[in-house]
Amino acid sequence: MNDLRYDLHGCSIDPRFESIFTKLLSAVLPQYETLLAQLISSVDRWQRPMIRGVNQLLKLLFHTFDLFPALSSQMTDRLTLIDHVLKLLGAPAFYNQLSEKLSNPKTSLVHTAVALLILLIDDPIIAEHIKQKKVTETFLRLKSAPYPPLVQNAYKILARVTSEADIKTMKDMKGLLAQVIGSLRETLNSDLSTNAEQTHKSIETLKGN
Amino acid sequence: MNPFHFTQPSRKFPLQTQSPAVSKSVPASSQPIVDICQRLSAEANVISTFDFKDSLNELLRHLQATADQEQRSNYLNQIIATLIEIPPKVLISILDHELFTLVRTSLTDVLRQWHRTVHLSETSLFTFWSITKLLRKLSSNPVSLKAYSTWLADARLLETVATSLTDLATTNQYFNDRELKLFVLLLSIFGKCQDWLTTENAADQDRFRALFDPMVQCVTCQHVTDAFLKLDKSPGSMSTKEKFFLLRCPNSLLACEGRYH
Repeated sequence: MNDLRYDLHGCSIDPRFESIFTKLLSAVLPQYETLLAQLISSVDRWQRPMIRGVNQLLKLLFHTFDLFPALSSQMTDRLTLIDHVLKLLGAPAFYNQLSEKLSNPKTSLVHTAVALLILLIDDPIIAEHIKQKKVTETFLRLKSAPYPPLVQNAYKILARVTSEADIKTMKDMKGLLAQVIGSLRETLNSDLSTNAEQTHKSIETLKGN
Repeated sequence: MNPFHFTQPSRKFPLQTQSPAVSKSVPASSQPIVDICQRLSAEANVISTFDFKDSLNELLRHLQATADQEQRSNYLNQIIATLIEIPPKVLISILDHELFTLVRTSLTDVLRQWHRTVHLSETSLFTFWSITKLLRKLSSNPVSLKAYSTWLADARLLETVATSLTDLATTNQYFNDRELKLFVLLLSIFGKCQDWLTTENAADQDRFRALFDPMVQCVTCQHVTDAFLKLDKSPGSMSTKEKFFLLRCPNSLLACEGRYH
């Protein structure tokens, strides 16, 4: 099987699956967009079953884009879906009730949502869209979440989507700076030839577009 | 009286209080089966693979000598109940025994029955319950998982599961709690097995992929939307049907995605 591609973790992916997942996405994306549009209005009243259900839905998207990064371009037609995710992240019912354990359903959902956005912001159209939504506040709140990986991810997003104006008014620059420097250090220490994507991301962040 | 008291499948295995077979009188010709099962039960923790194999040979012989289909099913249920008590490492060492093939075939038959009749008989339901319980026990042992995953990756069984998935996605009929709960458990066991198969087992991985298209149907069908909207209206708890469409299916789909390690 010489034509197997390898994902970032060194696992081989059956290439037949890319076309299958493309079809899957074209079926679920409209369905999810419509669903979330309806459900998000009651986000403050979501209980455990709903939280688990939405988490699973976002996980499906996350894993699909994780395996097939090229497919995330499909989300450029689904910007309202991204808006719903941002709205979720901005709901007090969520950011106020996070725990240090991933087993907590709200923490897990927020973590999945943020991880999904991180995959998507590699696309410049999506990154620009998120910047326009002015959601710096949302991610700033998340940096005091008790679950450390979530904090790291919040910084990653802040680094990519924060505009210069926001940075000027930002109170806590240290954390953000630490994140950017940390990721730069990681890039420099790693083998640049095999980590082209990571290098590219770090450069984009530094350019401050 | 319903002998099945199911609890949350994700936490505990559904409880059952009484086997339908126990209350029936056992004819003389089956006495050997009962005896062997009792002996195996008593020796479960100390039995050697050699003795175990002997017992299995005997059980198979007596089972095959039973003409009546219903009685055969009852005996098989009793045998499975005994197998559940045997340590997984002993069971795994002998998975290629014909009796285990019979167990797997019985599961396939029960699923086919489900497809045909929508509601299973008490005996068949008990068979479904017992085999799923046995499979769950086997899947809890990481050492056994690889050998066991290959055993489980039987083409006919997987095709039948695929048919059930399509039934669930495309009709309104198969949502009866008792059968659906067990089916959800079965799928989670499959998912676990798929995670364990590696590039050496490409043929097995391929067989599990029979589940992929029907799983896509389950993840994209109208029932998904209905389930979410129902949760929106009555947020308190998830029915088995909602758990199936909103939790189990997306999870199982990801297990099918063909990621090797």
